[in-house]
Amino acid sequence: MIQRLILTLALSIPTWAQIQIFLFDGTNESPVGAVVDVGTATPGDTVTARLRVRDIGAGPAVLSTLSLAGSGFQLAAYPSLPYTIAPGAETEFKIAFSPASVGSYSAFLLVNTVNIIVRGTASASATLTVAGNTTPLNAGATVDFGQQVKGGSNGKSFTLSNGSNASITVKSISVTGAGFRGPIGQAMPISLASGQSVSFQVAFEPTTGQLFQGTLTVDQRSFVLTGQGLDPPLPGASIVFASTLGSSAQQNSVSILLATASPVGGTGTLTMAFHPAVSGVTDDPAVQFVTGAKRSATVAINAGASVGSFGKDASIGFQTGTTAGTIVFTLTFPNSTQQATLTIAPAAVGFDSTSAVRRVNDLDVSLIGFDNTYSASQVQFTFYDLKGVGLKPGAVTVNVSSYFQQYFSNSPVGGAFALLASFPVSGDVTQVGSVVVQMTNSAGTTTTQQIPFGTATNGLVPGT
Amino acid sequence: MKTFLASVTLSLATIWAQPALTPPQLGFMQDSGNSLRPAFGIAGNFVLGDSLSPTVVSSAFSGSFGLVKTDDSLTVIDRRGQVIASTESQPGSALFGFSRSGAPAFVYLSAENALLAWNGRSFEPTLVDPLSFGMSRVLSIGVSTDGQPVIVGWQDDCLLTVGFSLADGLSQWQVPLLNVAGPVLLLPNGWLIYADLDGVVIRRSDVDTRIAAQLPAHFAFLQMGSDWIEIRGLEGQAQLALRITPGLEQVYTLPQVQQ
Repeated sequence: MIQRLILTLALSIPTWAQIQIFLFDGTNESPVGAVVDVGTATPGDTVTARLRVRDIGAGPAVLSTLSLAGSGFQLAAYPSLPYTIAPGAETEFKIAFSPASVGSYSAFLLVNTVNIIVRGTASASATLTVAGNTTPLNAGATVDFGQQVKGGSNGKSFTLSNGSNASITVKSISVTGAGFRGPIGQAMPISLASGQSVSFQVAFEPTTGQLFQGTLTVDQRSFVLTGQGLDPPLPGASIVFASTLGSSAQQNSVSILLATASPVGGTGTLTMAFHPAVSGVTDDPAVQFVTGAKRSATVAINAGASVGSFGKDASIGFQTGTTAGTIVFTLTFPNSTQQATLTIAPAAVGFDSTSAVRRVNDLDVSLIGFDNTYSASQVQFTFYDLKGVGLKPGAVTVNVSSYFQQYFSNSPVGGAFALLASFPVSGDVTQVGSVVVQMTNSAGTTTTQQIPFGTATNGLVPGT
Repeated sequence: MKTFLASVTLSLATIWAQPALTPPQLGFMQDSGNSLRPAFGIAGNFVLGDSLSPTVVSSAFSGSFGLVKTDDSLTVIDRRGQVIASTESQPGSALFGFSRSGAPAFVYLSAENALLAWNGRSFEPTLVDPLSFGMSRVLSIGVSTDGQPVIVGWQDDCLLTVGFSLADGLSQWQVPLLNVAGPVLLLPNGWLIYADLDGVVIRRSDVDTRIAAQLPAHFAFLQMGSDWIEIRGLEGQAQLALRITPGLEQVYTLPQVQQ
């Protein structure tokens, strides 16, 4: 009769009977019986045990009860209840054991109707502190070694102290993980009398400019070690111009010289900015690098090199434009910024090409040049006969201020201009041999050489 | 002379009446992305304008007119880039020749081995056949002082300048170009541009002017204006500009255009 009752009860609660509980160490599972031992912890530390509840039946199981009662123990990371477990599937929860003092601990764990006694032991162990901080490190704590240039070494001193009344033996200390080395300065085992302390060191020696992580293990307690490896900084750099003579309408080049050969590769950026000195002018589109982006270039520093590279070249060309002002070059490396300026001083009008042609009833004078002050005010033409004798009445002066102001206000090419002066003539134009042009702006006056008159072909003006 | 002087003086008030100030234009250039762009500015201070045509195969500009070949058209433009005439064309590159006045004269279509002549309104085929003459490859074309086609090309291992007759298509004269290898460019005024180990050479009536320059490994010469030649790197390098104005010869770097 008794046997039949038990069998009936068992059959009436199939969902409870088909779960099984396992202890999981991260790799292996072991079935849990009436008692489970979560291990040993030092007072102040926490040991966590992972338990799994598996449905070993043919139908779904419902986890409806999960409780833990007992000093020093706490449930952690458990599923929201009720929780249905599919056949063959599992759910997991954790028990955290955090003893307050040395001794043996136990608690009652209830999983649905399964009662399990949870045990843990708190044993005295040496407390671990890191130099500069008197607070003992709990197991699992992270010790950050900070930043260290690769190839260098940054050590931290750790102290093991016995605060208990009895002697403690530290059987093993190990350091694992690339970039960390230790323990330095202590041989194992270490016997610590009550109140005694010993120190050892761990070195952080990164080999690359990356984040490193390691583990310091003192007996069964582990601590996380972290450190940031750094690439060595690039050497000091200077911005060097092929020509330090700042003037308009030039193609110059700039290179980056390092104070020493760089121990490491890296990249930076060289930018150009132009600050016009001409009132009302905001920029000159001709001020730009001649390769790549207009005003930004990537500078590559190769390990061992003492000169920066722009692509395959050791320098990069740039144009100085045709506007007075300052060109500011800014070199930006990850750890430094340098600036150099090239001042384009206001200058008298510069002529790039000049020409003069005779037409049947006209004399055309063509002037191509630049006025980097945008202030051209006067043009003077002096005509000469075929023998080079000046023709009366002498210089013909024209006030051109308004024309140039209007032109420069919309100029797409900075201070560059092409001026075509046409002189209607009713006389014999073939008697005019040459012309000299004088042009004045705020910085001075420029005079051309004698420009000989040629004959126009097909209505074209030579040189334009 | 008094009349002349009086006239000059009297006419000063009107010389500025028409727009006489413009951005200086060097010509047109073909950028590394095969776009045709106007080149403004002065020597060493170039500003490239917006693309006029994005798929140019060959181009040249005399200073007055431009000839532009795409895969499907052959176009004549003026100095502002405005189309004067355009005709359909087969794919392939082209070489161009201008008259001394800068007007279009001849176009050689490489793929078709056809020399076309400009009649002022359109292109007409000619009887000139460089390959039948024995040329294996045409490098440049030009115009003789009497308006006949001049072709520079390889015949066996010899680079020749050959003058042809439009009337019958036959060669009239030929001159070997000694110590010259391609690329070469024949200019409307008869000057010849070619490269040597140290840079660029401008041959003017048998007088060579040498301009030191570091040239790309593979390049072509393109006339970009009356005083400017583009040295066009064929492998994406920076484009160079050669100034050929007597006494001012120099090689500059044209700003690169971000594609």
